[in-house]
Amino acid sequence: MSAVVLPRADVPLGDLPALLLPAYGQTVTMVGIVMAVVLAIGTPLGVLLHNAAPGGLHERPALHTLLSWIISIGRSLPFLILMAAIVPFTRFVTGTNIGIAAAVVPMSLAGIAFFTRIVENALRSVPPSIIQVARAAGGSHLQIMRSAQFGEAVPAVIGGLTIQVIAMIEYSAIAGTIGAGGIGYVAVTYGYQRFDNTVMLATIVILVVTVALVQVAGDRLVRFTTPQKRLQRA
Amino acid sequence: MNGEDLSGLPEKRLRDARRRIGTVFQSSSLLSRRTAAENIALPLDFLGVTPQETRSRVGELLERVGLTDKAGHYPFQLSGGQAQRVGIARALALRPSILLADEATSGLDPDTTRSVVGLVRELRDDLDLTVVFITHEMDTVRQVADTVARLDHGRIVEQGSLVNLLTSHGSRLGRSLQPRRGHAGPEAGTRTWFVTYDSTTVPGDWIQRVTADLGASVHLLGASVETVHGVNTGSATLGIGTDDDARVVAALARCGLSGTPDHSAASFGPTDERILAGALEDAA
Repeated sequence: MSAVVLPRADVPLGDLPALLLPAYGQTVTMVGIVMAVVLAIGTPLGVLLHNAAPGGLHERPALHTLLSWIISIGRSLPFLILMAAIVPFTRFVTGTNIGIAAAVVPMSLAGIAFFTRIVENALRSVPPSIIQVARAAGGSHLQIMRSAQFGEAVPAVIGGLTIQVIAMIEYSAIAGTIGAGGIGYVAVTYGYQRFDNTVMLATIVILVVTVALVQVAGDRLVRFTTPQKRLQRA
Repeated sequence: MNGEDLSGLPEKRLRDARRRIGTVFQSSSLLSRRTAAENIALPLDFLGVTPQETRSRVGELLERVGLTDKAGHYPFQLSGGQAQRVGIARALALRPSILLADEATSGLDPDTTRSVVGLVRELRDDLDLTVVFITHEMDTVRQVADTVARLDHGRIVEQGSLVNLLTSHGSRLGRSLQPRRGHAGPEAGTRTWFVTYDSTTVPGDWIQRVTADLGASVHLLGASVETVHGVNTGSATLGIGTDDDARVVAALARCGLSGTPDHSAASFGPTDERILAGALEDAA
């Protein structure tokens, strides 16, 4: 019996940028594509979910129950399991089950379920009296959704969007384990599997800074879109 | 409304009907992310009015409700009364023939309520509006109404002109419109009577007349009298030093008043009410 000895060959500091920068670019690409898909599909889905519910503008109880169940199922699977479970679907859509393209599919599905709930929750916080006002002002359903519901919920939606982007960065790291590339992939292959502490530390720092920046940007946007917070700074 | 039954209309026709009715809601119902001017412009935006027209109409409306200098203010920067004026201006944006004010003064202090009610009356006269004012505050009803209707479970169960209701003792609505205030306790040897103005021609010196008529002492324990649409209306609580109820009723009726003796309190000697009040004071 001889122990397997792995060579402790930490990546030299000088080579870090060459390793991490492309990986960071891949993470940004993945999260960017996923966020575009999530916004495009999750936003209308959230509005639909909210208004199909009893008491909404366009009550469709059966549709609401169906949608709500599908989303709940999507939200209840751990991302790693979801990713593995839908490999056939991913392969059907993208023709591959590794790489960025393959990661984008499960990330988008999980992200849409997540964001739909965030939009629904934000719209729910708009007081019903505001909807009554818009109705009495002669607004069509679409006008009421746009100006009264969504208009009033913008800060809440942006707050949710911040949470969403951070969750997607985390998902992209998990997707790294199936070879999707990105910072997560580097952290797993170099830092975890090869005990390369330098790379591990560098990826942690990059992720912490990125998440912090996203949070600060989100908070600023919320402040900017809430008149009371924007004007009462003094 | 204008001879049209609104309760069975499909959504699209209903929307047109809503545009012919201006609705004022409770004070907090402004869109928080829109300025006062943008809130007033909401119905015009929905209708698809051009920006120039919207701007001039909003300007007119702001001036009408006396808030020209607050155009760029957000709702959190407005007082309750100002927010309500914005709500009224918004309701008037599409030049409705009917203004529906749903609990529009609830939650406002008495002074602000008076100023909002004053504005509504002014608008009614200037713009030839029919105003439907829904409220549970009877003081506000006496300030604003010409005719009053009482709703019970969505149906009108009683209605009439304000003056008629206030001067008719048999009306439950009329009685609830009378301000109810506390009154002093009766002195020993007197019986408590509740009296309301029951005609439009109650003489101003009716207490003197009733006293002379009865030949008994009449104590004023509490009263509220006001002029509504040129007619004196009101109610009073009296302590009357006789137990001949029929004569008292007749004497009051000759002055256009309607009176009922208070049976709940003991007529002579200390009253239950007084004992209750004492108990409350002790508890406090």
